[in-house]
Amino acid sequence: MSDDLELARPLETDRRTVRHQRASAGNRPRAGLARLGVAVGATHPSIADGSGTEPTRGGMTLTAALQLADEALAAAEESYHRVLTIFESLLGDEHHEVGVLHLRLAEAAQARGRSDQADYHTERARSTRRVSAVAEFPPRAALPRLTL
Amino acid sequence: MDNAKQTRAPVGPVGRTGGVDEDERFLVRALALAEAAFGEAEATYRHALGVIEQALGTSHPEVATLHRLLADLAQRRGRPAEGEEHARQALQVRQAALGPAHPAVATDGAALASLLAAEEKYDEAEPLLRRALMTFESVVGPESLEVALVCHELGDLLVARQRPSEAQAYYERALTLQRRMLGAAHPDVVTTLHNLAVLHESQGRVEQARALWAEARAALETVVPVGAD
Repeated sequence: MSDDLELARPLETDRRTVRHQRASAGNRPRAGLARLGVAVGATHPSIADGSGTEPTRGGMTLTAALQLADEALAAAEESYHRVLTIFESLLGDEHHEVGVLHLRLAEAAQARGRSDQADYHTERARSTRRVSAVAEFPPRAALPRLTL
Repeated sequence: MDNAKQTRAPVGPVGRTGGVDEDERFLVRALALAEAAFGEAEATYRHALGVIEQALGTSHPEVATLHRLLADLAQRRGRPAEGEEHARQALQVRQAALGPAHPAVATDGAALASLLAAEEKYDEAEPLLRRALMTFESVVGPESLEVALVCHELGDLLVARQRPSEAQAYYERALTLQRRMLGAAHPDVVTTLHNLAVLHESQGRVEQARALWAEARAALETVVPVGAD
């Protein structure tokens, strides 16, 4: 392929840098996605300065690894939303499983600095918990917690 | 590629202190993070599947939905073999609940085909896609985004099967529908333009490829001006 044809390919020239918010030093450790957010809480200098010296592991560059991590975090948060919708419609919005998912979503929102959403989901979780306290539910298996 | 560097952020306040070792550690951490987060998503879906199966039975349509979500997740993780079984379960449950001609069944069939194609199981994937196309054409209509999507998938599959003439026809049909319904600057249009350009290039039609890439570049610049951050 000629060089000018190679340059014509738009998709290979549109790589975007994945940015992550730097975690505040005052953040206390939280479970789940919050802990994950802290784990990639820096805009890494190798990405930022464009030095072209990114290391690779299994053929993957730092940029690609960060993009993958970002996609995975989004997939985890999406899973909470998807399952919340299913549980709310089939089990009712006061079921204890719904409350657990609101807690997860609150953690995820907090990790990404979305305080309003975090407050909303925390309140919904509390509300569900209050209702659940007077009803009898079978014991549940807890959703797994991430530990990095 | 210079344009890629143009989109990079300027050097931030974080100094580079650890060199290659620091980079290596950061890369390992990012990969571990990705694996853990994908694992969290998978565990959430599996947990929900168990809850719904226990509460509503194994043949409820939402059981199919959760199998599809697990299949899609496996595909995003680059694990098509893991996703295949979930996609088969989704198709089976949904078809039993809704009948073979329902568009949701066609969607599940197309999703299974996509996983099979990723495993190079083209003989099984192609009829699934053709059946999905027929369903969408008859139920949703021949001028629909569903038809465009399946045409694009068929184009990809036929390229892999080294049937470029057929692939080209499906890409062009997908492109026509996407331009009409999504507008010229939509990312799906750009993807189809790119794939069609690669097909032309592979057949030695360099000028056609160049024209399509130019159109794709113009569309991208409409959405994200070059140099913007």
